[in-house]
Amino acid sequence: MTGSPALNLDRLDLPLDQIAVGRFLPWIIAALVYVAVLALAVAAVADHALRLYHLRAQLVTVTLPPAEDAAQSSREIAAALEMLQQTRGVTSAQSVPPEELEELLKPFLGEVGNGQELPMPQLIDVTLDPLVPPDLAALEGRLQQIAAGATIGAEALSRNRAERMATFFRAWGGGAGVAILIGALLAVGLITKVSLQAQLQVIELLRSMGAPDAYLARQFERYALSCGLRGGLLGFALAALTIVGLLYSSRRMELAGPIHLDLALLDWGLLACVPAVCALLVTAIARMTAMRGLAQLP
Amino acid sequence: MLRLDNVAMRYGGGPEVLHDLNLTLERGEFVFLMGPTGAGKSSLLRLLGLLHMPARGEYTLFERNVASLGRDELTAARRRIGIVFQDARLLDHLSAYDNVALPLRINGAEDGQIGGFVMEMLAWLGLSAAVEVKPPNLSMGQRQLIAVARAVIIRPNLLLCDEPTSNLDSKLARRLMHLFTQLRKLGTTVVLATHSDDLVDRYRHPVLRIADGQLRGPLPAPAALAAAE
Repeated sequence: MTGSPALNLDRLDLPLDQIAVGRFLPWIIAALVYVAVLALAVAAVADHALRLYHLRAQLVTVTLPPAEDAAQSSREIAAALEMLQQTRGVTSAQSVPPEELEELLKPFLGEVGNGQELPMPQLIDVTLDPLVPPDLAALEGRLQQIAAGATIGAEALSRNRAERMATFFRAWGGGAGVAILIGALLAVGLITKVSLQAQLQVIELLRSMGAPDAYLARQFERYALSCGLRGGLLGFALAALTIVGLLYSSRRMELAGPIHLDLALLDWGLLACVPAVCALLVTAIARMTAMRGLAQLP
Repeated sequence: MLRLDNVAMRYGGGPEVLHDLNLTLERGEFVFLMGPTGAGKSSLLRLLGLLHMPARGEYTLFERNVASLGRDELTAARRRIGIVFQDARLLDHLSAYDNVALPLRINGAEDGQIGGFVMEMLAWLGLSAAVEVKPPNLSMGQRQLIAVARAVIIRPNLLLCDEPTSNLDSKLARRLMHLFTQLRKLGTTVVLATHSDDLVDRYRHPVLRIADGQLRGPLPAPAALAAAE
């Protein structure tokens, strides 16, 4: 009958689930995990959006006004392409074929008769190097020397605002998520401390039978793990439903304009780790708090 | 096996509840502990059971001064002691079986090893039908029997009992006394606190008398009963 004390997984000697604070522990963890997952999801969505914004920022469209004839149009296009390809920070420049432009305009203008009836602008798709982006204003000036009225459509203002907002949400979402998880750990530490005080008589009884501190601490640890897993999974499931609902609504309402708010599979995977990580951390905190509390008892 | 030399005990910073205790008990000795309510019987049992340390003096148990024991050594020493508390102190959320099995599990025994042992003990005490019953659904007498079973199942070297027969009818009380006697024959030292003169008169074990926190004895049973009168 010697050796390390055994502990039945289904049975705790300390009735930790029968005191008020202990009973609420799974619900408290569920609520905190729910909020933490939501906050972290906001951060992940914002990060995803930022990446899309950066990707879009690499593509700009140069518009040359309609030329008087086809020859002039070809000359302007060729000169603009040559100038763009020699510009530092421009990865590629490619003119949009007139047929493609007609396709683009068809929903708005209907059949335009082979592009003969309306003067059509000439478009060039330009890809920029995000590491050394060129000065778009200066580039626009040089393009205007080739074709008067040439413009670069950068959508700069609205994109800039959206990017700032996404950066804000990413920072605060991530910070809030981590802070809430720390809050969950503090709550578990406090509840363990209160439970320990509430169970002093049972602890004395178990000690009178020769239960070492590690055996007693393992009871708190086991209970915290069970609560952490149950609460964490419940909180995550509810948060996942909320996130799916919010993402669906945001798409329907086009909250982020042309950017689709979404979570990548990897993000979902990382969020799914939150309850598991939370359960492991609360287990460790419960054990540490219990061991410290028991060491202070005579 | 157990020796107290001028031992005193107090709770926290309060006054001494036991003082100048001197006592020697050998292996296999059986003594009754008697005294009026509040005289310090339960405190003495707590002291002997290592639930409280002496405020002064020297308590030697199992050949070791308990003041010199480290935390692990204290735990090991407690595993050799069985205690029956006056209020039984069963865990209400566990079945009768699990309550009795508790000390064995704490000692590291596997569930597969202890089943027969625990069932045998419960059967011997007439509690076979109550194996899965939780303490709130048991009578006071049954609870007391389970508390005794829990204390003796580890076959302790030192058994401390606080009024173990107070809620039992005479037949069950005799049965318990038979159990304690058998343990004593196997080498267990038994200290049994009681108010019952009948019990002392019937079994004639030496008596420790405690009054105002001071101990007298062991006295032979007749002398102790005469002194009480």
